[in-house]
Amino acid sequence: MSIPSQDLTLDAAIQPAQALRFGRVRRAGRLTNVYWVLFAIFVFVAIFAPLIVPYDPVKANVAERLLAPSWHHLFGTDSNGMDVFSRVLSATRTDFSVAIGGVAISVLLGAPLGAISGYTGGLFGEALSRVAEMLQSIPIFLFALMVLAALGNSKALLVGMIAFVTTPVFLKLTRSVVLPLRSRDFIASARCAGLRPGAIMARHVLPNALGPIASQLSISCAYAIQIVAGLSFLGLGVKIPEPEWGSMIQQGSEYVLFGQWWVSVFPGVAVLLAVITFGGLGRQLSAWYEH
Amino acid sequence: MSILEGSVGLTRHRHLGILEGSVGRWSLYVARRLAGAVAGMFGVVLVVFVVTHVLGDPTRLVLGPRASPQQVAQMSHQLGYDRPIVSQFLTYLGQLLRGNLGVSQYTQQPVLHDILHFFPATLELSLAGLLLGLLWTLPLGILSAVRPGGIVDRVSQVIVDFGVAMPSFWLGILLILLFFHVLGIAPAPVGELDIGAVAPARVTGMTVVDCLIAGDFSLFLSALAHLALPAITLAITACPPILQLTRNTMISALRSDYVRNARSMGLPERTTRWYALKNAMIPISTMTAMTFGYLLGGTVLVEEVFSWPGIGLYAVQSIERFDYAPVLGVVLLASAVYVVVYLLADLFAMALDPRVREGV
Repeated sequence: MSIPSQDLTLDAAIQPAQALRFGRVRRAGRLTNVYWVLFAIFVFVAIFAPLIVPYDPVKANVAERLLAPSWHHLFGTDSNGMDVFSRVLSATRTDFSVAIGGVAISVLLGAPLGAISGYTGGLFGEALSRVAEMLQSIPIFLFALMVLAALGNSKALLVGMIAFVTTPVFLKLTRSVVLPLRSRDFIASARCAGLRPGAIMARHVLPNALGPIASQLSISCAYAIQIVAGLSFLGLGVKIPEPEWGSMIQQGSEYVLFGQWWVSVFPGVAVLLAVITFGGLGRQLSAWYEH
Repeated sequence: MSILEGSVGLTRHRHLGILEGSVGRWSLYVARRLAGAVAGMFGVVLVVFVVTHVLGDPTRLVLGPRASPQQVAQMSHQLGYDRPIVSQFLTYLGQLLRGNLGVSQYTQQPVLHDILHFFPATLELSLAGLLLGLLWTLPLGILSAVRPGGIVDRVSQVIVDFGVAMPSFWLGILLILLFFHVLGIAPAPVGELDIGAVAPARVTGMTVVDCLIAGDFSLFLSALAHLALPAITLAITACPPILQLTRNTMISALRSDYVRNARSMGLPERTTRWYALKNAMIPISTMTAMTFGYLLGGTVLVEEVFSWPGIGLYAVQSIERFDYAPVLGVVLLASAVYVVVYLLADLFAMALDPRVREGV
């Protein structure tokens, strides 16, 4: 999941808006539709899970502990007798809302800061970029444990952690797009026309960064889902029995030793699919704006 | 990226005529990078301090969540947390500089002592994971670059996509399921050695190495077997970026003028590929170092799955015991290690680049 680097040369100022149509994306690669279909399914499940799950995802049933997958329980049951299929579907909402929420915050913070850093340039811009680099040297999972110790355990902690990890990414990305634009003619002419820096930024600078940001948004969501699952695996953020993929994997891990694999394996497949979906969308978006 | 920034900085100084000769340029670069690393570390300490002392309550970190208000007030005064925040920060910084990371409530040992005890296991696991990772990513990356879009390239792209997308802890669990439960060829995931096995005399702290030093060959094999699955997990999930970078830098190196030139002069493909690889090695080695730095602070999930007694598991278990000083120490140490590894990688890359070395 490498971060698009400085070689982002795009010129949305000249590019017609029609290029943004989805039709071109589909032609960019053969598997293109698959990601959009998967994405649509995930969103559908995240919204309508309570209506489509066959069992209550948080209802324990001692009589049905650790049942293997069958027609009654498609993905089996966990150590509390809860239906794994229902829990995997219901967890989509938890994981997606935390991941997307955290990434949304980081775009709202990182993109303007990056634009300021790139547009003003100079020492201040450089300093912002250095701070972003410094934050990226902090190991996220250990840091999250520390934050949990200092501030207590809550789902807000998860959202905050996602924002913490991804804000520097958006800052540096936006900066790298904006920096080379400073000396371009259309910016100079906007300046000559008497536009204020804020207006130039909003109307002429930031739109250029939308393509890379959109692509990075999707890739960051993929990354965020992995982090949410990882942090919950360590017992952070989500309280059992609330369905969440990472905590479900944790819950089932001790039974894997005895061959009761379904409790851990199915939520992991969900994480894998979600990450691949967001990653694939991100790649397509970047192929599309580079056209 | 900082390699690029560094060399841009160098050109700028050359234009200003400040420096002549490579030695001065080199030391200037080293000084700049060192200053950057120190500033970065200071920033990390500041972030940790703000989270624990400004946003959170530091007495809670010492006493745990079950302390009474009187205890908290008393401790707060005793530790000086009723003083102005700036003076608290200076005290904290002073303690860190003297290597004082606090005392673990559980082990009753200084945190630094504990961390040094657990760190070699993390180092061993990270090194093994990275080594295995290089063994598959470098050859596949090079082969992919020889024929972009070919069968090797496509297959390795799929492997990369899955490797990156898989949660490492989940892959670890799958490997345990397959190799321990189904095939029965891997040992149980209980750490570095079987439960009840007598650990070799501690020399390096890395069990595999210590077994060799002790000359116990069967114990060495057992330690290797315990290391295998967690290391494979890391090799698959953390190393794909190395493959991706190897492929991309090799492709552009193979398309470069000097390779075309060499080819047109009739040099065999083997030789031209070797030329390309030598040039691609610089970014690849930086990437490898970054992966290593990431692993040293990022193995916590895999350590948890395999009960691997490294600093990650130490931090997780400390949290479970409401023992918070170790967690802060581990965060600071892992960040410091990352900064140092990255610094060394940068300097190493500069040293590899003859344009810099000879001050061209």
